[in-house]
Amino acid sequence: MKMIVNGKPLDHPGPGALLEVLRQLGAAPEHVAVMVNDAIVRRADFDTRRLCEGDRVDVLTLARGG
Amino acid sequence: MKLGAIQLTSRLLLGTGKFASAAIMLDAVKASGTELVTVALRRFNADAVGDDLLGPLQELGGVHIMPNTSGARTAAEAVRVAHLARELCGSTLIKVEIHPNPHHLMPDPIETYEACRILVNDGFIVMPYMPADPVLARRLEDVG
Repeated sequence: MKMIVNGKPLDHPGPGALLEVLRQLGAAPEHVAVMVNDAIVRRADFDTRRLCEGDRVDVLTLARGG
Repeated sequence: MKLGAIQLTSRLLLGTGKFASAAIMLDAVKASGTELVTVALRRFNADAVGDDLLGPLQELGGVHIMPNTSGARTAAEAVRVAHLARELCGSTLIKVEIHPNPHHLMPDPIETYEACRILVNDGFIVMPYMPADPVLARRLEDVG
């Protein structure tokens, strides 16, 4: 399944479970926020959310700054 | 010092940028005695997993996290970043930074006011990045 993650193409081998995509990226679910097609996905929904071909996914984390 | 319902015994608010490394930054946080740090939101970088701050700051304990909306050019963008930050770390603290021009970083007073008005109504404790404008300061104080 092809999607855009953080502005870059990603080829995900699975059926599109959000948690599996995060695992593929190496992102800890409890340390990121996610938007899919500009809509925020609540962390409580991470384990049930399914992504679709062509989805735009943004994965964000806290970083130094401020 | 009290920010909303949060009581702080230290008046020092510490940013987390400009340090040579995350380790040095965390040492500085511990040494300073600050109880509130400001952080940014960035796209996750798989090549820099060690740059994640949430885990290390949570392990420190006793430190409130105030994300900023740096990068936002409008009130709508700042509000979205605030909602993302709250989803990410559960913090209702937010530093509203809206500067349309990345070169001079002057804050947009109109978008800042609008973002603050929306976020205060949404339950956030808001600290705006603003110019030295006492009229705007009074207006922002009025919205909470």
